[in-house]
Amino acid sequence: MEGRISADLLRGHTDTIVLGILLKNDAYGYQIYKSIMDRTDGLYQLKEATLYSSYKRLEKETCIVAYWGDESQGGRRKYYRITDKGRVQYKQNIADWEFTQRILNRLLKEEDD
Amino acid sequence: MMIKKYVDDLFHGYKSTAELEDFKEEIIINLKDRVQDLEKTGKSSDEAFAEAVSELGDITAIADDLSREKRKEIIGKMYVDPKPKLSAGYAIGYTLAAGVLLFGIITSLITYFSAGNNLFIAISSFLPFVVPAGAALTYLGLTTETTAKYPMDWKRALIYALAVGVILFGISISSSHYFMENSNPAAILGVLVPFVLPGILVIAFLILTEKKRFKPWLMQEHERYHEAYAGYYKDTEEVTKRGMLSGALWIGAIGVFLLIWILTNILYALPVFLFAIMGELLIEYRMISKHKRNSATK
Repeated sequence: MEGRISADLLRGHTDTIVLGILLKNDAYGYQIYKSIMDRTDGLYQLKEATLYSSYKRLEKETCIVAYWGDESQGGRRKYYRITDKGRVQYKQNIADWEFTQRILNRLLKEEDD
Repeated sequence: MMIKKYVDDLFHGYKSTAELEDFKEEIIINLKDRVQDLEKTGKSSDEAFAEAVSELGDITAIADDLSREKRKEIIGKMYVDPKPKLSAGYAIGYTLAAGVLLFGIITSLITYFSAGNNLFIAISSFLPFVVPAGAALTYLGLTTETTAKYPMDWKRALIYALAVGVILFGISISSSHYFMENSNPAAILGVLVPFVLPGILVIAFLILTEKKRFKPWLMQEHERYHEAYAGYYKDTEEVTKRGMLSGALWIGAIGVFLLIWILTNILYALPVFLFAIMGELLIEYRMISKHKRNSATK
């Protein structure tokens, strides 16, 4: 049976997804959006509004900082950079998720054993 | 440009703050990039725009945080006393003005019957009462705070009251002339015009330059109303323009009506209103056809 994605579950991890993308290098909104689309092969579409509220939230928690780029053509873009606090938060979130996953697997797949 | 307009429209009701402008710029550039990429895959610019916008989702929730206006509205709603109380001074003022008016009516009735059914004297004796009472009621009415409106600035209200007084003065003087024996239409007009015309002009000017005194909750109601009628009238500006046009039409019609009535007969004067109604229909028609044209070019 083919699986479907649980939108709620995914939305709960938006912040972690964003932090993960910013881990490698700074990016602006559309880059982040595109890299999420590329990674899911278009199987799941996150609304951009969800991302924008994630940026605002992460900014408030000082996990990321925003700055305007100095593009010479086509209008300036707003970039996001992960902070040290953001890196710590990311590691914590991943650890939390792995733990949750283990527990969930034990609970949900009990019959298979 | 389509994108900028779309985003501007999206945040139309929000107070502009530095943060909100920042956010808008960010959304616009991201949408532009998205539309460009979609166009590269062979979509038409309209398709690309529609798809990019649908991917955006609901961003007004974020905008609420970035625009303080919404918060102010909520506070205004919570703390505004819904039923303002009439102060003692105003209560006395209203009672006095109404008393003067009543007293004037009684006096002129007594005069009318005791002077052998002479309307000229009756109206003349009504004059000293109706002018101050009318002016006072106008002033009090405009400066009273109601559930829906804030009080008008007292200086402005005073001008209104004076204009109303002058108009009432002109009307009662000229109507008493009308009932005078061997009255002369030219003399009546000669009395009426110098009072009523400037009075009407002043009031028309004041009405057209009126600032909104509605309370926040009523403004919201209006917004909802405008949204409901958004397909009919394009925007508030058009509605205002339309209101001004028909206002001018009716003020003019009443002026012409009075003129014809005094010069000839009320029967000849009444058709003026038929013309005014026709004019109103023409304005309505013009607005609808203009609106249709506007939506056709979009």
